[in-house]
Amino acid sequence: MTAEVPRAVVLGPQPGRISLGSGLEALDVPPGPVAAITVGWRETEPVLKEVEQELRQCGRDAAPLHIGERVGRVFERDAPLAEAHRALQEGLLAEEQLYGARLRRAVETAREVVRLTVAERYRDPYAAQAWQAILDADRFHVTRHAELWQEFREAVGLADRPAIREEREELEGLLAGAAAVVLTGGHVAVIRNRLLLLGLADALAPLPVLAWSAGAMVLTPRVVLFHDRLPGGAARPRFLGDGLSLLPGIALFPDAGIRLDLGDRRSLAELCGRVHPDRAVLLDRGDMIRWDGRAWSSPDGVRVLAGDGEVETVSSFVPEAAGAESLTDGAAT
Amino acid sequence: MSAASELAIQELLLSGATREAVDAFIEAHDFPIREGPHTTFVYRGEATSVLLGHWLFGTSAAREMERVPRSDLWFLTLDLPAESRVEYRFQRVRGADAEWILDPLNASTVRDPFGVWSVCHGEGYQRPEWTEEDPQVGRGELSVTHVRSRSLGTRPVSVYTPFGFRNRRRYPLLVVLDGGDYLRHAAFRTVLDNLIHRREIPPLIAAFVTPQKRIREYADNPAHAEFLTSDLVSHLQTEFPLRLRPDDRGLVGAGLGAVAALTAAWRYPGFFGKLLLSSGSFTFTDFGPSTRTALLDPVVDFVNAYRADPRRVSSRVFVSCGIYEPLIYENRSLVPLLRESGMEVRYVEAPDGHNWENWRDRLRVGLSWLLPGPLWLYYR
Repeated sequence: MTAEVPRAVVLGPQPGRISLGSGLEALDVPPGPVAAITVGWRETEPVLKEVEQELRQCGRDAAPLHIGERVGRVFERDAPLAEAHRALQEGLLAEEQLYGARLRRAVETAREVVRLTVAERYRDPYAAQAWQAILDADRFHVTRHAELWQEFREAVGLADRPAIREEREELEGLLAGAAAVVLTGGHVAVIRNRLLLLGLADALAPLPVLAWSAGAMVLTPRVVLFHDRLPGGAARPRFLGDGLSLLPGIALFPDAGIRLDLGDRRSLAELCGRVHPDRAVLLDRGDMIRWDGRAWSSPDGVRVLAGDGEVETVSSFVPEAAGAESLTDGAAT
Repeated sequence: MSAASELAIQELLLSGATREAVDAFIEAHDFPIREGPHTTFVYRGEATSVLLGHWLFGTSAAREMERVPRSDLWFLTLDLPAESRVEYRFQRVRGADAEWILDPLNASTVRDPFGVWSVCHGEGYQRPEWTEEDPQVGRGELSVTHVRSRSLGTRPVSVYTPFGFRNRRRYPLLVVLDGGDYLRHAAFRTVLDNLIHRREIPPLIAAFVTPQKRIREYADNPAHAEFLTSDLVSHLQTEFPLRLRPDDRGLVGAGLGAVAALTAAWRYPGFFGKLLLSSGSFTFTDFGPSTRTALLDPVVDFVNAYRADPRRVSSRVFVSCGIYEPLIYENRSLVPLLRESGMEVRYVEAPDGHNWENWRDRLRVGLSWLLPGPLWLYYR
């Protein structure tokens, strides 16, 4: 096992009551408090209390990071930063709209090309071009998103602003004294935004991680937004942007059984291709997967999307991006 | 599913329908009787004739009910599509007297601005749970503000602010025409509370506007359009933290209110980025004069003009209509024109009539499509 990447456990969604016991046990966390990152949809949600209670039952103290409140304090102290951050959000919103328009056309074109009843030898070159257009749209958006963040960081001198620096130093101290970190579900864009703003990736990197849903998604290489069953109609999967890349080689799809139309193999095949070289991992309530520094695994099997849109269960796999072949690719368990 | 010959009313007819048998029949069933797709409406009482009238079709379209021989029992069996809702009354005729009455055997009623109606649900219809108050859900607040308008005078407007409202945040705005009726008859406040709680729409501010002279104000009235786009929104912007982008501004109307919404958007293109148009009275003529009341001539003129020159007036338009409404023709005719203009259009038909509960039941899909909430960003 290499020591470059921390050990991690990703849990399935935690609707209702949060349960951390089995995850902590699997992580084999050394003694010490567990840092908790719970910012999400609304600060009023009692998630933190539940996490604290669960940790207490496991004989652990929680070290809540309160990153939502900290960012609120930063903006109160540093009005120009708050204004620049608001402008960044407007820019990201515009970028998202432009990406959405481009992606919609690209997907429609790719599907139309495949539907045409013409000989494959004529169709295939166009299908390849159309598919590439989807990948280009995704890649361009992720790049532009990162560029907008970078422009913002440089324009305001983010890392050196006293309000940010003081909060970050406190957080780094808390994380340095923690035995592990827990990241809960919630609003994935809010969690990601707060972590990027406070620049916590390096401080999180050495710690064992227990995370689920939004909290785990932000730690993957790229965050994919998806929901096939919205009351206003399915939302086409799209990238939010880069993640913190602490959980390598995977794109996470929590609540897959509820949020994805698992009968729509064409869309699932597209999804698998779009997140490549990462593997699309499906998670539902009760699931748990582990990262041991080399491979992802689970005693119950890891459910991943295959290239044809089928859901297959593998006992473990090594991320392709890490330069190794999958250990048990296609070996259903 | 029962075959027609096995319907309860047919069994009664075959049994001879003695007084005792009719008593037992009434005792044994809930009314109207739903048997698979078949719905049997029943009235008991002395009459010359009894008719079943759906609200919109009125007397001329009322269906005559059949008398069970040698009894005071009247019935009519209709096949209603699954999940449909029908509002109805009986017209009881006694000699020269005709009277519209509720179904005495059906306790299920609904109230709208025109009175109380009996309600019949087809197989599978259930009132959506998101239209009912939920004690677990935080309630938004309603307050009244007074908007001064040069052309329409001072108008009281009910303003909804969401649970957890904060002055430091900025909110999308929804302007709801016939707002008082939407609140009273379509549970709009409860719907907003529930959809915001479920993250299906964002926390928003809604302004419920009630007309004083409805037909005059809503039939393509330039003063009303100016009131909405200038007086009302300017006033609200001074009192509430609103987002300023047109895509964060929606306008909702039903029936003639939908006409008022589309005409305001037509007169001020791009001002309201989102439109929700329910059962719009989009009357038009392909040739010759309209047969509708002259008061609606401005509507006909407007729709004819829009048909001749469909324009992009918003970015997204949600249109819905009940399949039991005569207005289904007008709405189906409008949708391709809206699309042709370059707007993103979603059109939904429902097995329902021209009524508030139809419009209430369409709010979830309409609002969450027009103003999607953070649900797809939330992973629990």
